Formats: sequence, structure tokens, C-alpha cells
Amino acid sequence: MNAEILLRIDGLSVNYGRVKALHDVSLLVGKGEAVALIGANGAGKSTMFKTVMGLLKPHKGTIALADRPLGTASPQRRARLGLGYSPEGRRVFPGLTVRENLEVAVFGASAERRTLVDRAFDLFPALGTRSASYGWQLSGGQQQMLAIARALMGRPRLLLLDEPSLGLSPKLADEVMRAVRDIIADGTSVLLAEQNVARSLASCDRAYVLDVGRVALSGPSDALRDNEAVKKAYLGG
Amino acid sequence: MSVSNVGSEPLPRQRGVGALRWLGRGINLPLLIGAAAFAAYASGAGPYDLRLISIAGIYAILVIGFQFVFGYAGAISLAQSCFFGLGAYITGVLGARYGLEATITFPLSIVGPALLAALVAYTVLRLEDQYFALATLSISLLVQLVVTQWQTVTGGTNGLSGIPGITLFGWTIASRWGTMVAVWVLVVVAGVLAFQITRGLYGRAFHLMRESLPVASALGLDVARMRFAAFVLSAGYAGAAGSLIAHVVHVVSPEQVGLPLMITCLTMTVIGGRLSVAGAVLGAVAIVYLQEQFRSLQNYTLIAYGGVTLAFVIAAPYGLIGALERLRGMITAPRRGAVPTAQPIPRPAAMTRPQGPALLSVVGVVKSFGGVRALDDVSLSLQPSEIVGLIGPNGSGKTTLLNVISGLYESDAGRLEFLGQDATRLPAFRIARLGMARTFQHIHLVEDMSVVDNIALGRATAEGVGLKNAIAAFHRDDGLDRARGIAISAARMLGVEQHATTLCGGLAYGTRRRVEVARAIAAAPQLLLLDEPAAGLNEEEQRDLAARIRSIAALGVAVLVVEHNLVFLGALAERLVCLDQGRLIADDTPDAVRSHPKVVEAYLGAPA
Amino acid sequence: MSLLQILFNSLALGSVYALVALGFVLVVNATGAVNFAHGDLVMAGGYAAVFFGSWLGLPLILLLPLVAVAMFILGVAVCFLAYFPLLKRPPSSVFISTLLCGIMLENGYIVMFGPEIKAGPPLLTTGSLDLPPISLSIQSLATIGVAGLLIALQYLVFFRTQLGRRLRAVSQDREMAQAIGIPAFTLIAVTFGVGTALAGIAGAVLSNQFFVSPTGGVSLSIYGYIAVVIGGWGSILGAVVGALIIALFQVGASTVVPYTVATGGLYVALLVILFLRPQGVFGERVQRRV
Repeated sequence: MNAEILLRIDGLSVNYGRVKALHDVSLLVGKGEAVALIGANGAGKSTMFKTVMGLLKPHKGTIALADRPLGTASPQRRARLGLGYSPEGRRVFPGLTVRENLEVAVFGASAERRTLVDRAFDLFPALGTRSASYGWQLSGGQQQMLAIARALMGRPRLLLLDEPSLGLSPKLADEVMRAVRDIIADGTSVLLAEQNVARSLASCDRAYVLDVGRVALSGPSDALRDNEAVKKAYLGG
Repeated sequence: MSVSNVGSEPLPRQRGVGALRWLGRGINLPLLIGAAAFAAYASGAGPYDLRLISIAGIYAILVIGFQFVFGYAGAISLAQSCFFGLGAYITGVLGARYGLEATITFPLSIVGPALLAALVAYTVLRLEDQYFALATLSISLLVQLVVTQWQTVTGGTNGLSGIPGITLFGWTIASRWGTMVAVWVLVVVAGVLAFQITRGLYGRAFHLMRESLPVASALGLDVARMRFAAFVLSAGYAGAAGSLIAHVVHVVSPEQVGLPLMITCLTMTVIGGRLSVAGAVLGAVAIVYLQEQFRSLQNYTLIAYGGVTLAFVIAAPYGLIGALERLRGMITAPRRGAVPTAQPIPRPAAMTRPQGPALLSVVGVVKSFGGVRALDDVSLSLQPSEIVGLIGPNGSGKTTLLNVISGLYESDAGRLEFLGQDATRLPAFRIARLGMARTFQHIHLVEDMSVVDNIALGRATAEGVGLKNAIAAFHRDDGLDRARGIAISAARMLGVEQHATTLCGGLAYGTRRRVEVARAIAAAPQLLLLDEPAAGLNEEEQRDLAARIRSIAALGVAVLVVEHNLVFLGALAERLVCLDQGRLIADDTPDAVRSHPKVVEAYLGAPA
Repeated sequence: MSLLQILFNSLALGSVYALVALGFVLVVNATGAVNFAHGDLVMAGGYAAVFFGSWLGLPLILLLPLVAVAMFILGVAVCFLAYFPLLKRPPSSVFISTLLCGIMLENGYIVMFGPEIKAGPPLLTTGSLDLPPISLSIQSLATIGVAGLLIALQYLVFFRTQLGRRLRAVSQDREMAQAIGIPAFTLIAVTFGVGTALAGIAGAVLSNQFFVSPTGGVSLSIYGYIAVVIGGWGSILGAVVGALIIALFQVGASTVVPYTVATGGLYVALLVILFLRPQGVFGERVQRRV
């Protein structure tokens, strides 16, 4: 693991309504690393992302980005500090076109917008052909690509990807993961949440396994790949 | 704050003891003292004040009526003032022009607006909030236009004057004192009637309806009919109040139909409280007196009055009554009501009926959302006492299937048969009434109601809850008592009996989940659908819940459980059905399904 | 009246209504809530025109920027008073709170300006251009011009600038907009400000031909509401179209039937639309209740 730590989460506990969604969770993402968060639904992955993004308040624990504690910073502040977020369910802006969805997330002026949007279309050619379509007109796979591309428009240091292959056909899911690998290769650090174990381990160096809000296991992908404990966490028996 | 008119009623005991208990409950004592003080003041009031007191009473009736549609049904009806004006004009026109007595004009003033409400109900009641408000506003404006234009009958913009006082069987109430008494007698009648209608199971059903429409429908409640009843009731009450104002001020004019009166009505409701009769009276009296006291300063006061009401909306959403109750709650600990005695849950009625080939039969169901097939040719069946687990990765269609089976969604193709009947096109509340009950991923309980009352709502349809029964239930609501008795048994089955009289707002998550399941089984269903019941529960709670579900199934109930948690299901299900991308990929014993290659692939991904 | 005259008058009235509806739909879009004080804010613009007019003695066209700025500030104030405190409540609470703001405004007008009807300065001058068979009042021409300009400007900002894209994003998914770095609450306050500025300009423009009165705004709130429902909830184009339809109704129908019947007809038409197609002309299919 790279010596420089980009994201440090320490003893995080989050209540979602009355449910203890996360309990005393600690994890690290190093600069340039790709880390997977694995776990069944309800394990706490989405809650984790929402808390890092500032959409949920933890009642215990700290989150620090590049050694700077995030404290009570608002979501928009965190986005400007270098967090990119592709949420569960994609949440593309339905009434904006593909191009507008991308442009609205850029922080600079029109030249910067042009550069970044072009880069997005290089990464996802399928988006380029549909640049004038509205968000609501896109298929699930296209929306997912748009959500990821949009998250990159702010030139984030850390990209939070919540279940990018959810509800996608295997072929599309593979395509999306290919793009994610390109993003990782480009040097952006990534924290990826996935239900599908094999897919996430194939793209990431390390992984944390969440089970009912706690970190059950963690380690390098190779070690976790055929791990019986992981299988049990999912399929029981 | 406890929902007004709600609270465990004491078991039938000696009258005296019961009355003392009533005094000690909630804010009843301060209210009684206030009422007595008011009565004392009224007895010594001069003629001008008597008129004011009458007007306050009339507005109280108006607000009590408004509470049905605004407080209980939760809809902003801007037609309340138009029903009021309509009632006033019916009495005014028939009384002044045709000399008809109050014995005739009063009932007509109630029936007229109620009929209008019933007529337009079909158009407006299905609309979302913002459209409903505008639609009712349009109706109000239309009525106002008719009233100002139909000069020959209504006297146009000037209205009609010289309307006689209340005349009953030839005898006219000439004095202001007599009129005031008559008005307040009617206030008491209106209040008692409203209390009667809303204090039992029916009133509680409205709270659930406001909390969540799908949940209410899934319990078999006909929410359309409930909203209809509330709307028509509110119109009838407004008409009665309108009739009285004609007698008190002896004039009817278009102002009685207009928007300013509607805003006054809203203000009184907001300040007094949306759900309690006492609040209606309090709000009416407060506003009438405030308006009077500052009459000379008029416009400055109105600015202040708007500001104060705004402050109420922001800071005290339950009005003065709610604030008083909160105050009371801070001074003394809330009194726990008596726990009802347990009644056994009746066996599902159809157990004795001959069954078709299966209890539930789903054949070839297809459901698409915007081009995506959430369910693609899914078929499965269930037998009595079977516990079947429905599994699959996120987005595979499990909850969609549950929604189709329980009638919240209508399938695009395929067939649904329940208890031998074709249920494919039945709306949710009708399927529920056949004998199906379900829980939801997000728990919806009425926070301000006790556990036993929440569970008792599961019996609402079985008790034939409805307006007629609510009015007819004289001294006690037997339906509510029976329902509570059965609710205790259901609570026992789920191990929450010790929380029976606790308000749901203070419960831990695991307990809330069990209360929700208890509510579903209180309905004595033949088929129980559970949507992720184990989510958020720790291991011990999961084991406990699984055991309880097994005992429910042992009674003959078929159970379909949607779950991610395969450890939980392992202890529970005899059969597992697995969905992936809307298609059914396995339907077999748990062991077989767990090692099924397609299932493993769906969850863990294809082997590297 | 000739058909051309009817159309011209409808267009003039319709452009003012369009400005009212536009301000109304902006706030609906940003907050999902109906601002029932909107019509009273239109009157505020009228009163501002009267005030600045008597103070500075300039034609309205030069006073409009002043009016717009004053109204912007008022709109932000309403946002902080009636909307932000009620964020976590159901939309009906905002409905009521704006209604109450409306009452406070109406009575404020009586206190500050008296209950009489007032007239504001004309946009340019009074008088008309006579081109038989129609007579084009200069005020109407100027009104159409101002409204057209503002609608075009509105459109430009909303669909061609980053600010506009951000405003639209906030109205479509506020949380997600925050998560990509947009200061959502600031923009909501800005939306209130802009919506009120538009309302104020409408009021100022109306003040010469249709006068200003404390309670004159109530019917305008209703017309704005109707325009948005007819045109399609949330659609900017729909709001403009809806406004033009209302004006056509009022001007056109009232040449044939008495004004009150025409107004009554409008309400009936609205009820019919709500019954048959509640999403309006341009709106998306609403989910009927379960």
C-alpha cells in the first residue's frame, strides 16, 4: 500500500433512523489505491458513502481527507475538497441533457468545461452519441456511465462508487467496470462498493468486507478471493 | 404528544371512578375549568358580547368540520368556506324569501353542501395535494360567482337581510341569549358527534392513512372511501355552521363564501389544533376575541395576527392543544392506560373453505418500468403453512414481485390467483380483505399511538370500520375493544406484550419490526408477506423473529419472506425461490438453491 | 371588437400574466411548494413602482431595475421567513405559511399606502398607435416588449448558462446537487429572489393600466396557479402558455359573455382539465394515488 493516506475513517458509527447502520468502522484508502467495500445489502455500504459525503451525520468517529478532518463540512464543501460521488441508483438529473449533467458538475469556466466533457466522452463513447438526450431518456447502463462521468467532472482526488453494476446486465456491468479500471489506472483513488464479490476483487487491490455494519474481514484481494468466510457471509450454510 | 382523543380508555368500571380518571387524563381538567369559566362569563355578558360568543360557537362548528378533511384526512380543502356560505344562503334565501322555519332550513343547509361535496368528490379527491387545493379553491370561487351573479335569488353583492332568528315549530328564539344557548348546544352536539366518529378504530385508521397510503391499503382500508367520508362530513358541518350564522347576524352576503373566511378557518385550525374538538373551540374563541379586541387597530393587528399564526405554524404544528399537552407531559409522567385482556386471534375464515390447487398461484407475471423488465415471466405457488424465502441480488425484482402479489402494482401480463379467486386486477385493499397481509421495508407505525392500538389497526377491516359504525357505536366502541383484545394476543405471539401501552415513537428498531409483524397477523391472514423483516436486527433478534414466524406458520398461515440475509432464512424457510434480473432462476430446497451454480453466480459473480 | 384587437389585447394581458406565472413556476420548481403570496408580491412591485415613480418622477422603464432589486430582496426575505423554517414539514405547511405572508403583506400595504387604489407610472407614455382596424396602446406594446425580453432572458439564463443549469439541477434533486458541489440553499434563496423580481416587474407593468390595490394580488396568485396547472406542473414553457390561455379566455370570452361568466368558465375549464389531464399540457403523467 502506498505510504500516503488519502481517506482515513476512524471508529465511525452511524444510525440510520433507529438502525445501527455502521458500528465502529475504520478503514483507509491510500493515494492511487482502489479499495473495495464488499457486503450484502443492508451491510452498511451506502450508509458509509453517504456519511463520507456529508449526507448523513455520524454520531461517533472521524473522517479525514488527506489529513484534513471533514468534521461538519457540508456536502458541497466536500465535493469541492475533492470527493466525487456516484450514488446508488445513479441519480442523474432527469431534466438535464447528458452534456448538461456533465457541465453542471464542473467547477471551472467554459474552457475547462469543454476539456472535461470531451474527456468524459473519450471514457464513455456511448455517452458521446447521446449527448443531447435527457437524463430520464437514458437506459440504466447509460445512466450509470453518466453518473460516474459526472462524478469525475470535479477533478476529484477520491471517487466514491456505490454499486455501479447494480441492475445492469452482465455485459454492461463489465463495460462499466472496464471504465472504472481505466479511471484507476489514470491515478484517481477509488472506493468501490459492490455486492458482486468477483467483480469488485477483479478491479481493486484491497477490500473490506462489511457484515451488519461492522468490518468483518479485510485484506488484499488475492487473499479474499476464495475465502470461505466471505462465501459464508453471503450465502450462509 | 398523544394524538388527541386517543389514549387507552378505561375498562368498564364504576361510573364515578371512571369520571375521576377522565379528569386526571391529559389536559381534560384544565379544559373543563376553562369551559366553566367561559360559561360563567357568558351568563353575565351583554348583547354585543352574546353575539360574539354565538359567532365563536359557529366558527367552532366550522373548524370541527374542517378537522375531518384537513386534520384527519390530511388534505387542504379550500372549499370549507364555500360550504359554509352555501349553508348560510340556503337558510337565508329560504328563511327570508319563503319564510321557512329552521326545522326545514337547518337540515337543508347541511344536506345541500354535503351533496355538493359528494358530487365533486369524484373529481377532486384523487388528486395530489397541490391540485386538490386548487380544485377546491376553484369550486369555492365558482360558488362565489354564482352567488354574486344570481341577483334575483341571492340578492347579488349586497346579499339578503332580514333573516329571522331560529324558528322551531312556530316558536322563534328572539333573544340573543336564547340564540347563543342554541348555538352552543349545537356546538356540544357537533363536538360529541365528532368525538364519537374519531375516537374509535375509525379515527385511528385515519392516522395510519396519513402516515402511509400503501400501508393503509395493504391492511384492507378503503382509503378513497375514507377521504370521501371526511370531505362530505366537513361540508355538512360547514353548512350547519353557515345556517346558524344567518340566524345570528340576520344577513347573508358573498363575504361568507370568500377566501378571507377560508383563511380565518385555516388560522383557527392551525392555532387551536388540527385533531381535537377542544382545539377547534379554543381556536375559534381565541381568533374571534383577538379580532374583536383589536378592531380599532385593524391593519396593524392583522399583520401581527399573520405573524403570530406563522410562528405557530413553524414552532407549534399541533396548535395550542398540542402545546398544552406537551406542557402537561413535561409536568407529569404520561399515564399508562389499562392493558386490555387478550382475545384469541380468530382462525382465518377461509380455512374451512375448500381450497384450490394452491393458496397463492402466480403465473407468468411480467412487470416493466419504462422499458426495463423488473419481472420477466415469473411463476410460483404457495401452500398453507409453507414458509418460502424469496431471494436474489439487489435489483432482481423481489420487492416488485411482492408489490404485484399484494396488489400495489398491477402486472402487465400474467395471472394471480389467491384462495381460488382471480386477483390479477384487484386493488390492494381488496386483496388484503381476501386474507393477505404484509410488512414493508420501511416500517410505518403511527408514532403517537400505543403499540396495542397500532396492532389493533390490523383488525380494522375485519371489524367493518366505517362512518356508519363509528357513529352508531354509542357509549364504547366495541369494535375497538375487540380489536385491542386480539391485538394483545398478536403482541404476545411476537413478544411485545410488555410494551402494549407504550407509544410507538419511543421503541427500539427491533421492537418496531415485531409490532409491524404483529399488526399484520392480527388481521388473521391466510398469506403473510414479509419484506426484509430481519434488516437491522442483530443475530439474537433474528433468531427470535425466525422462531416466532415458524409458530405463525404452524397455525396454517403461508409465509413468503423476501430477504437478503440467507443465514436468517436458513433457519426458517423450507423452500427458496431465487430471482435474478427479474427472472426466476431457482425454486428448490435451501441447500439445493445455495449450491445452484446460477445462484452462486448471481451473488458472487462468475468464477474468475 | 375585431379579432385582431382581441388577439392584441390578449397578448398584452397574457404577457403580464406570463411574467406572474413564470415567477410562480420558478419557485414551484425550486422548492416543490406553492407560494400563495405570489400575487401579493406582484402588488408589491406595483407599490414599488408607485413609490419610486412619485419619488423620482421617471417613466417606469427606467425604474424597472430599481423595482427588480427591491423585489429580489423581498423575495429572499420571504424565503427565509416562510420556506426555510419549514423544510422538514409537508408541503401543506409551506402553503399555509405563504398564505399568512400574503396576509401580512396585504395589511402592510394598507398601513403604508392606504386602502385606495393607486396607479403607477406608464412604461413609456400613454397614448396609442392607430392602425385600423386595431388600436395599439403604447403601454400594451411596451408591456409585450418588456415581457418578451424578460422571458427570453429567463430562457437564456436557464438553458444556456452554468447558473441556470445549477438552478435546474437543484430543483430536480437537491441532495445530489449538493453532492456535486452546488450550494443548493443559496441557489434556492436566489430562485425566490428572481421569482419575486419577475413578479414585481409584472406588478409594476400592470400598475398603470390595471392599478394597484392591497387585495389585488389574490386573484393573480390564483391565475398563476391555474396557468401552471394548465400548462404543466413545473414546465416553464407551460406556465407561459397557460398564462396566454387565461388571458385569451378573459379578453376573448368576455367580448361574447359577461366578464363574470367568462371567469366562471375559466374555473370550470380548470376543473375539467384537472379531471381529464391533471398533468396539464406539457407536464408528465402524475402518479394517481393508490
